[in-house]
Amino acid sequence: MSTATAARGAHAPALPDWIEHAAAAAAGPAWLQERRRAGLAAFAAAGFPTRRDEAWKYTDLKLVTRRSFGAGIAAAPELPAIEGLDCPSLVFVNGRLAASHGVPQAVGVQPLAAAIAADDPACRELLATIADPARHRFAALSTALFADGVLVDLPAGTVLEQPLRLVFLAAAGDTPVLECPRVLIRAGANSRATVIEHYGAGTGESLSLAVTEVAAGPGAMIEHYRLQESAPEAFHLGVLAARLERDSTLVSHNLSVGGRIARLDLDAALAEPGAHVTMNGLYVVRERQHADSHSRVDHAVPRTSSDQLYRGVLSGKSRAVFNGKAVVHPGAAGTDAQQSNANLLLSPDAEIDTKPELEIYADDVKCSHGATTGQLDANALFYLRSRGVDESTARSLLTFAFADVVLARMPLAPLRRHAEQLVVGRLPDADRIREFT
Amino acid sequence: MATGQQDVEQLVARKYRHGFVTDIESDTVPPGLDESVIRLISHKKKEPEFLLQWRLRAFEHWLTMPEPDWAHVRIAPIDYQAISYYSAPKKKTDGPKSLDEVDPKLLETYDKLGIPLHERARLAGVAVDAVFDSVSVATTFKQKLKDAGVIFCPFSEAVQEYPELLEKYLGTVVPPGDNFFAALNSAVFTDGSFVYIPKGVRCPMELSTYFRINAANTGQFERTLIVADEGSHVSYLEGCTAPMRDENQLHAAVVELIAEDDAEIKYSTVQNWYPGDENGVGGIYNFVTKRGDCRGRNAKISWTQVETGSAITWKYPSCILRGDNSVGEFYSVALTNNLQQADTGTKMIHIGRNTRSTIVSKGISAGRGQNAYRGLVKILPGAEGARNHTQCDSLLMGSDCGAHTFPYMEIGNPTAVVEHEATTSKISDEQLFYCRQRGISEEDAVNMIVNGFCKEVFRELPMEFAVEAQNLLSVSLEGAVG
Amino acid sequence: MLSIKNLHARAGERDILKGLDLEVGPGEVHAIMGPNGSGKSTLAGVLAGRPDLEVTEGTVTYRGQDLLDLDPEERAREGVFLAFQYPVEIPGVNNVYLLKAALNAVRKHRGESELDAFEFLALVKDRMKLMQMGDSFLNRGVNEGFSGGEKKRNEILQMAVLEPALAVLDETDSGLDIDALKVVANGVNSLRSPDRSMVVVTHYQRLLDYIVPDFVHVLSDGRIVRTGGRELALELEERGYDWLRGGANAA
Repeated sequence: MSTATAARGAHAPALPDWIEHAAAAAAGPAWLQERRRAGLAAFAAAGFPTRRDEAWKYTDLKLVTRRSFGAGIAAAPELPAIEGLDCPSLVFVNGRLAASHGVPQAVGVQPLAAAIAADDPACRELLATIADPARHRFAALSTALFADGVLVDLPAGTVLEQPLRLVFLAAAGDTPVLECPRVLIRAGANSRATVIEHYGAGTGESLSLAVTEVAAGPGAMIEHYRLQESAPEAFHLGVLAARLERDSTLVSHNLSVGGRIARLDLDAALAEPGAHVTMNGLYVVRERQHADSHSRVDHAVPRTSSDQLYRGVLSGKSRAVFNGKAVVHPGAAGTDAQQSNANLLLSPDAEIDTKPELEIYADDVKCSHGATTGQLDANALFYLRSRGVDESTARSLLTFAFADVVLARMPLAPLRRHAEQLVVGRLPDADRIREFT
Repeated sequence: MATGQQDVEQLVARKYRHGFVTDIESDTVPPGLDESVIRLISHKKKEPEFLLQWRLRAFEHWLTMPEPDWAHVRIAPIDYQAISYYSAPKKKTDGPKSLDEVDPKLLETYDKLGIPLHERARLAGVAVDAVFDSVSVATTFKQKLKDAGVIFCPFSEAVQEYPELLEKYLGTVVPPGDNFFAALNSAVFTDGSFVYIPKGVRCPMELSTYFRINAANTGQFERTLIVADEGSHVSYLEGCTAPMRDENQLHAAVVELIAEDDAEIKYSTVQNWYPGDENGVGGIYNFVTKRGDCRGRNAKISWTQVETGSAITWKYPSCILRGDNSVGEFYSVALTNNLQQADTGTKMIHIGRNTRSTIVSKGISAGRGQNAYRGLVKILPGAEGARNHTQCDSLLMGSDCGAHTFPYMEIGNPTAVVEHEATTSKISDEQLFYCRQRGISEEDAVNMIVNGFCKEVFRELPMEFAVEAQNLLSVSLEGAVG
Repeated sequence: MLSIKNLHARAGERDILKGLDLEVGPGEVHAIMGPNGSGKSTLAGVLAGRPDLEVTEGTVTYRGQDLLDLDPEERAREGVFLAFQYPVEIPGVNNVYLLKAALNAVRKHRGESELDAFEFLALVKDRMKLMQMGDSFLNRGVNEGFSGGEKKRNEILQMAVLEPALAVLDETDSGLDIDALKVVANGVNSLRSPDRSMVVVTHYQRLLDYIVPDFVHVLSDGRIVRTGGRELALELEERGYDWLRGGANAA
């Protein structure tokens, strides 16, 4: 083991120029420079993953490593419309703040670059401390390279009445662009907020290293949405890492429909009793898309709970990966960890690789997981046909219904409708069923 | 509440019953491994040249391979030069012609193990090949099987008698370079069993091999090859024990099964190698490669294993479902108590159309035992209509043990249906109290509940083994209830 | 048969029984009624030796011996039977297997010979007829996937097979529709005999229309606050429990 690491270190290829350039351009105060250097060193030591890395067994990044990514071009910061959703928004183009709509001064939301420049203590305390650089090499790389992002710092007892929407757009010219959207959320005791991260379609080839860190204080409640509808040429490598204190809750809704290769690592550390995380994930891929959902929940102490529901619909030559893990640490009695993954393959050339894992070191626990891959329920299909619905429409309807089990868990109605339309538009025979959904 | 826990813990600490040593003079080669040792083994076995070359190629390959490190187990470093790769009880004559010539000490050993080899006391309806350290010492019912056309003999005998069958089938399911331990086995294997069931024959009795490690500082590297020709049927059992010794001993076996059209092989294992003591000292490293190939249409291979012994178990009896409509099954009970570790499961590779597989895994963790299920279900694009169902349950007894589940599912065909379910439970105080309120002692209640947990697997075992397995489980759990 | 004096018991940190007295003679049927949380199920649990209940004071004498001294299985073998309010599921363990193990444990304790498979099956089938249970029940796991009614019938079947001297029925009527209730009550009544006593714990008097008690006791805040005949149950049905709580304080 140690010899292998040493060997790799000795022969580690130099970092590609585009990374060196971006790293040289990244600025900040001394404490941040130190974290940037550590991040770059961690990435350099690990290198780009290959399929020999267990965590990347099914996701090949050759398409990424063959390219180089630059600063991109100027573009208009268009806010993608979501019908019925009118809330404070920040728009980023190529990782830099481009527009701000209706964000009030006093709610604790500010651009990350400005917060760092003002030596905001939340940044110094938490930035790059929640996403584990050893487990998430691209989070480490993001730390080295990011230019801007958002700090959401909610004092104790704050309740954000309106959702906060963060839009990230990539605009590439003739050459691919790198963007490093970075979000840090510190939720004080008993605060409540809804945060939407919207990775819009953008233009051209891009690499997004999108990293969000969440620190939830006692009794805090964060409802987090992540809509990933990047351009078909985009590479999206995301990390969302959360640390939850006593009786706090994170509910994550995560829809992945865009990108050539899209990966999200979603980690929750349930660090104190009463903490809870819900992960609702849906991936809908077609053509040659590749979507990879990794999740990990650490039940570190007694009486914490987690609920993971992931579904996927695959058509064309697409491929999807699900790897969900619940770890129950020694002494974490009273843990309740549930995990479910279900997939529909709609084409003979699609492939799903799924691996729901449990690692349990305590006996007083309720843990279960299930994974299924199969077809639509033949009885339901017959039932619809017997009511006069043609088979093709019936299949589309049932496929949508399968996916909608995840989306139905979104409390924010305008966003749910938007998500549903994104999904419908990606199903075969979309036109037949649009009116029903 | 606390009392229930403690009683359960007390229940899991009886002694290993098969830990005695047979005092017999052995012909043992000095520890160490190089080409000359392989040539020596091959020479002692009077092997044909092709087999020697086969071994040497495997050895060369092995030298280039790293030890696997992906399993969820902690292994103390193994010094492959400190192991003796050949040990055989010294023969009084030139090899026993019949059981009457077998050393009485060996017969006595197998009597003590409950496997009487002698004519009068033989297990009814079960033919036994007894393997002692590196060699087969006796095979029962040979004539009766021969009359049915069935070949059942020690591997070393098959090398002399049926070289053409060996050359045709050996290494075709588990190639010599398949993995680190399979490569090592291919280089140094000493004996094992060979079975050939001709076309259309239903083997008239259960076949069984009983493996016994006796000598110190030896490894056991046996090789089993079972070929079921078209339309044939065979049920095969294997059992294993070893003396209690303070050092770890390596057992790296390879089992290859081949089922042609409409053939069926049922392979059952009750593995009770010495598990080490309650402090984790000693015990067998059980690193085994078992794989079956359903080559023909409608072929069926069924693995059933009850793994209670060994310090570390690393095995994944697998099925390659090549023939259309072929069926693979894996039923497993794995128990880890004290400091035992197990990383076990199966691979079901669906290649043919309408292939079906079933996986039922029951893991029981007690003491500080660590128990991992690791499995792969792979549906290739051509496996139209493939089906898999996996049920993977863990029972935890006590708060210091671990139960882990690592199922891989790779699905490349839209008509496949693959289902995986896993649950984790413990013996609840409520269940124990209920049984006790009906007058049943706590120890009996725990055994009853554990056996209930394992029922789906036990009912796959042949009758004689099912009883043995249940007893073994209760012995292995002694002092573990928690 | 059973003599309870000044019984105090707690679950965890919570005191539940606070000085309970009860005398049950041979062949008698005593109903224990009371509001939720009054300690009815705790009393049943203490009699059976539930490990998470702690007796802090008082005595329980059963057929001349100290019941509290015995392990749960010893009490069962001495003839104390608890019909559980929530019978537990034990997956994979056959009903018939549990019954046989239990019966033979009891018989062995009494110095009787163990029943062989034929005798045992004949006995069970006879009792199953009484409880109107089908044969398929035998090979199912203990209470595994049973409906509420099936679980309760199973409890009484076990009682009919084990033939206890003291049966404690804990809310045996809860969750039963009227037809199931009749079957259960019929089973219980057929087991009444001059040398078998019963303690019937219930919240509603409905059960007592079918299992007619000799005595009715009202339990409130861990003590028996009133004792009477069957008519007391009817009065409770009419007036609820509240008036008794006040009465207890006044007394």
